[in-house]
Amino acid sequence: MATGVDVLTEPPSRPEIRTIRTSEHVLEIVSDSGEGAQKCGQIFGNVSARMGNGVWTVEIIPAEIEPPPRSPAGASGNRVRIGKGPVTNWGDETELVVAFNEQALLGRHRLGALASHATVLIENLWATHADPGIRGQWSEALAEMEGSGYRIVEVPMEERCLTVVENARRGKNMFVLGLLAWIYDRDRDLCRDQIEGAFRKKSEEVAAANVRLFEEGYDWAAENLDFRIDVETSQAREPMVVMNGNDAIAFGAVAAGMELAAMYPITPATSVSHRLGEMFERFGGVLHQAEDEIAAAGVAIGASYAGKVAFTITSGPGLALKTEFLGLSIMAEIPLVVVDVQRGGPSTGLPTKVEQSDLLAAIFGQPGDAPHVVIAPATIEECFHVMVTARRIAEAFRAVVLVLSDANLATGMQPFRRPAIDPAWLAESPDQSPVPEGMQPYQWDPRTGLSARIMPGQPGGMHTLTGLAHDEASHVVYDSSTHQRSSTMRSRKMAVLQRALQPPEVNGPPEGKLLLVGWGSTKGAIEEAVSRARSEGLSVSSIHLRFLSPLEPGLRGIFDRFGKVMTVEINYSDEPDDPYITEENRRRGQMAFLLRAQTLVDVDCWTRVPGEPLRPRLILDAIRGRMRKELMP
Amino acid sequence: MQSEISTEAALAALEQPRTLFLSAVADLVGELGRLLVQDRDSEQGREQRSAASLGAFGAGRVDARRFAALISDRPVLPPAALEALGRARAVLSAIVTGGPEPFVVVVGPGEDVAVAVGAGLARLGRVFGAARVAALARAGAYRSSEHASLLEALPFARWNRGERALAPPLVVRVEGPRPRLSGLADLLNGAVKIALLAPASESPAPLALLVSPGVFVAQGSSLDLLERLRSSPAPGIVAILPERSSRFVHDPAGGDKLRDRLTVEYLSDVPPDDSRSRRDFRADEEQAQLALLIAAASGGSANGQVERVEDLRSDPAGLLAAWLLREASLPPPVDARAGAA
Repeated sequence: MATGVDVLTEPPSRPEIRTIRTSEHVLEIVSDSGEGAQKCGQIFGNVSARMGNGVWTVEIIPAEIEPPPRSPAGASGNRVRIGKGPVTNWGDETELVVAFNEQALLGRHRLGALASHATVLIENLWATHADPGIRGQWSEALAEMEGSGYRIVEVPMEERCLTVVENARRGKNMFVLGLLAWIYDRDRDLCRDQIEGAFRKKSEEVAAANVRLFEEGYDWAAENLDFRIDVETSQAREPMVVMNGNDAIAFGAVAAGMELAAMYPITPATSVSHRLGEMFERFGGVLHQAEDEIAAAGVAIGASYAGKVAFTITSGPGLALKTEFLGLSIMAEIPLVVVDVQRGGPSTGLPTKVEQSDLLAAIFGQPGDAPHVVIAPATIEECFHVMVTARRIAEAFRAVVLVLSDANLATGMQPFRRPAIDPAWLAESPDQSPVPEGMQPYQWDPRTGLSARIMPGQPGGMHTLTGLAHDEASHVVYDSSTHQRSSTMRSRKMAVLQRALQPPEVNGPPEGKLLLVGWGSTKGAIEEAVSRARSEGLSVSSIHLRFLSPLEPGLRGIFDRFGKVMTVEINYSDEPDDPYITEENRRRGQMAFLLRAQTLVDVDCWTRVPGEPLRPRLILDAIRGRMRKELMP
Repeated sequence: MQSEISTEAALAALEQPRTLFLSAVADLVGELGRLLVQDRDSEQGREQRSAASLGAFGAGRVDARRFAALISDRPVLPPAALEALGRARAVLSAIVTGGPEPFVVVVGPGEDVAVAVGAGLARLGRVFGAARVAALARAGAYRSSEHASLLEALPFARWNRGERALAPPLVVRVEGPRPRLSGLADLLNGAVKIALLAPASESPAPLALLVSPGVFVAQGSSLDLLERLRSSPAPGIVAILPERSSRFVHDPAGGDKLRDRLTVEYLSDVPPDDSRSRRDFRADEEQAQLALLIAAASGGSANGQVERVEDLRSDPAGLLAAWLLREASLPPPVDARAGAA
């Protein structure tokens, strides 16, 4: 085969097995949709985490539900970054790829996902396929990758799988898991346990067949491959759990005593409800799949009004639909937690891809003055714990608390310290005691705007619930002074909450030339980039915000200690040097927009919307670029 | 089949609903404990509690001291209210830790079972009384002169619907031969479940008068009946009687029609007593009621009902006719007598 890449069509003859020792490694498994590469990656990540590696996995999900097979845009799979220590992001380029066909590989190549020295293990069917069209695609793909420096090793995946099962398409993923288990010296018993756990629901026979496929892959690798990768493990001192962000939100919701989740299926939020469905069945609770997004919000608000701890889950397009009901919740001061797992937008946008473009909509996307709380977890572990805090604030302030997660956290998987469940997180039983005489449903404390909540059924607490302007007694009142007063009280709560917040910690020296500001899932990548930049001698620090509305205090003081402040976000902004772009018309990243308005500091931004998580090296390049620019006369 | 079932076995059979009841009480004990602590402890304690309630995400981001100062969940209670809360908690704790004794009622010969069961439920009702005292105390509405008795007993008639839905199960051991049960009808609602053990009963159908559309009523001699009572969502009573008694099950889950709900396994044929002065008229009424029920169940669908009572080898109408004739001391017609054999 005349190509510019190093293709080994026969297993490498090996005088000895070369072991690559490294503190971390990035690998990908990519296939057509439905071939199980994601499951393979998940199990590999899970096993690695249990063996003591730091792990971050990212699902590679095509935008379409069932893209055409063997198409570059249809690559589906999982990227796994494993390391000796904690891994906080998906890293830079992939160093080992297992591809089920060359088109999936080509898709990743075109995205620049692979390192120049990457090793590729690929199904050996295609180069000599009976279909000349497929042979042609193979040749063209390899021609396009010419000069990439990849080392491509063909593997008889289908041939070997057919010795175990009749349909190799349903078995390659576990065969590949076997390859990876040998390459990375994974614990075989752990792998078997995970495989059995994954397939036992189907049947014992299916589970056994998949274990055999795994063994077949392991044995083939042991007999034929000439390299292994040794990523040192270090067992954690504390018990750990491994899960993705959506599972963490579901577990966190149950730990927070949430009793009802109302939702309408929407990518990438739906799997929260899948996990909740299992848990509510075991621990009690109601999962309500409503007829649409609006109804889901209505059900959650109604349940909360009735005294239940309720929340609703959605993604960007669903949040838009819930707008009116969230206004009711804010106006009627009914506690409500809303989880928005952000994806690319606008409209239906990029359902399976990560983006942080809902920030301004989450904070300001309400007609009328509708103050509410917006918070954002930055890690998968925080996806668990944020639910406890969100619930507590929602109830204490009789407020809507919007939790902004994203597709990166939702589908990524990471080990973290097993949470020690605290009964203090749980909701207390609804107060059914008689309402003290004279107490009103909106008896606002003029200093704080806070008022005690009256629940239906409390003797003496009967009142009309309304989204119309109302006074302390919940009587509909349209006069200007009442509306001014009630608006003030709803707004005052946000100020009161802000006064109880603490300034963010600065990652790095508290003063310097450049301060990066991030929020949400970019934390790991930003901090890794900052760390690398500092090791190059650059004067960079970062902060990562969790409370986005109200904003954490002390930002102006922190910003003043740096020469320049720049947000790093996964949303759109104009580049300053783009045609027609001026300081006046430049659209900036959403957090930058917010910070400029709130602090009157000239906050810059570096943002991208690649449909994938930010890579530390790209952020590092941005740091270098901005600092060079600043240093230029 | 078992001829006699011990109190312990009956308690074991109804352990699950009793555990549910105790679990609710334990929750309340915990809640009152927290309330007492909250109202008694220091500012530092409140800060710690506030920090805990905000979870790990709030740690370092929300100032727990400020949060606790802002969010005073409820006003500090006056001493009298705190004392009432403490006594309510003690009552509830005693139930949680006190073993199964409060859930067993023993009825002596000649005593009215309904009165004894009512007293047992009223004693357990002090749990709800304690909850009410706690609610009143939290709202600042507790008055000792008016409400202290709630901690002693709360008669079933004063339980509200929610409290009745949490009613604990009772095991009732009746020691006499003629249990008087009809008064129990007023107590069979909400989640009330009664396992009545009457090993010395001579009445053939003591529960027949309690059959009502929404109530699980069964009598027989098998422990399995208690399992059915436990799993039924309806309130109910099961009497475990000597084997010579009638055996039937009335299960509301069977359907809307009596014939779908009532299954008679065995109809006791108690011989008429020649000495009217010694006749147990109540037992006769109960047996007659059961026969009437069987007849009513067969109305319009005699064949189906005959099949359901096939052990009787009789059609129900014939059975009723035989019983009426026997009551009148007239020789039954040949076919009816044959049917009732």
